[in-house]
Amino acid sequence: MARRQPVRTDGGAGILVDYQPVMGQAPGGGGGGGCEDYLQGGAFADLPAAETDGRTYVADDAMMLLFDTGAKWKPWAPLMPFTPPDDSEFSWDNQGTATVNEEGGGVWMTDTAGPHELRVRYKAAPATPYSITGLFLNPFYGWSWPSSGLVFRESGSGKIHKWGEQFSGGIRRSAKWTTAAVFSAQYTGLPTTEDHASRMVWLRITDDGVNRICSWSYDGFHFKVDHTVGRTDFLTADQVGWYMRPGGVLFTQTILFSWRET
Amino acid sequence: MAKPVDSGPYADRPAPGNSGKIFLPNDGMCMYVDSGAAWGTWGPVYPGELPVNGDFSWINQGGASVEQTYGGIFLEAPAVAGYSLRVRKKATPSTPYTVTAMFLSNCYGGPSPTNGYGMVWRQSSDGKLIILNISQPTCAVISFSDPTTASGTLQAFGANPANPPRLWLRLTDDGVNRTYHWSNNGQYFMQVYSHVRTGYITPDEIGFFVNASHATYAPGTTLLSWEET
Repeated sequence: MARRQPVRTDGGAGILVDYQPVMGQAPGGGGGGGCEDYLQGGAFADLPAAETDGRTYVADDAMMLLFDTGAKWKPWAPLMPFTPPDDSEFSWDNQGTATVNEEGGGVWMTDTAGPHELRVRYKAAPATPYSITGLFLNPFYGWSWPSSGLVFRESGSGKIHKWGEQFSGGIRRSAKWTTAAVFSAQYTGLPTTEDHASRMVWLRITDDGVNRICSWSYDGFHFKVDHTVGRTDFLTADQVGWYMRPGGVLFTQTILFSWRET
Repeated sequence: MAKPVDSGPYADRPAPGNSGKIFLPNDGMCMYVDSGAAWGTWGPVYPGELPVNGDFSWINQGGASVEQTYGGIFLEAPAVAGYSLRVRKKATPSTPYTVTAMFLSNCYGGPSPTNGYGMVWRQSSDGKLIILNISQPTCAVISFSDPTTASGTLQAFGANPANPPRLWLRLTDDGVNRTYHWSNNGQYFMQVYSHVRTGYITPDEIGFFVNASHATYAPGTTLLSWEET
């Protein structure tokens, strides 16, 4: 069902859309033609027929904002729905000199010339089966192996299974770490691109109760699985989180824009 | 009451003064929200035209598939070594015409030839094609005698484009020449190749494709916009 609500802005943090049921009301019909009737949202599959010039539809499961010309729906894209992360839910593992701040709708992690270790923000894992989907702006500084992404973590041992994009070599890597400071071994490393600094990528980790699964997407909807391993291999995760691995020179910074648990 | 959302050329954006009003320029790269005193800017976000999956049909579908669940047309194909173009095609418009497509890639990169996607011209009488291919390590305009047999590279360009998160491609037939273009913003296009409109083929079909070119990595791309002018 399409929903409606005026769009409002909030301190530059973004456009917030808070829907209410439209109850089948057409613009100008029965409800006085208020602005609520022109601003609707819902599933892309529920997009109504184009017929009202000026009506706008915010699809909460699609890559676009749609504008009704009266004859057709015209997309503005790409524009993806986010779930802003709440940094207060997370704790540090191996913080070192890293910092985080919640700003502009995302959580920024920054480190100054840190070693090639994992700076991790973690929280309790949901009950299986679950998926965690994060949207990252890749590390800004491309010197010597910076990366960012998601982690499975075992609280008893501190072991980590990390899944992220790495600048140097253009690799999306699934790897085991004995602790956040000690690399163990690589599971997989598949090619992304040589030049992904400043690119945004959706990363997903899944525990379906049988396996841990690592997948990725550039559009947030179509995910490709790069790695699957038994859920008790190397560790049994009771925590999940995200990490940044500093590049070692000057500073490294990454932004987590979205954190969704399903 | 005034409409809370309006669209038109950027030059026609009204003066601010209606708090909460949104303006969507159909020739710009942003959207604007009126604070009541000034226009705030959000972007980049680009205007397009919704592609209609039913307008296209398959050439060499194999195990490829399309879906439209999240807007646009997502075209995905299985991994396979060597060329195997999975094509969605339709009849060309009458000349002169320009077709502009906006893509969002979900392809693997790599130092060796791997996943590609892009636009295609096809000659229905014999099935020959020419593709405007976005891939690593090199983008190229390539002729094909059929979807699995490359005939020759007409023009290489844009080495290591690194799967840009979004990309526009454009094919133009002005009745004399056919030209090939790309853009990273949808407004300003760079011509990468031109030849006489009967060069290699005289296309009567046009479309888009993905190509795995790899035994392990499966390509995918979303066609977010398809505009014929």
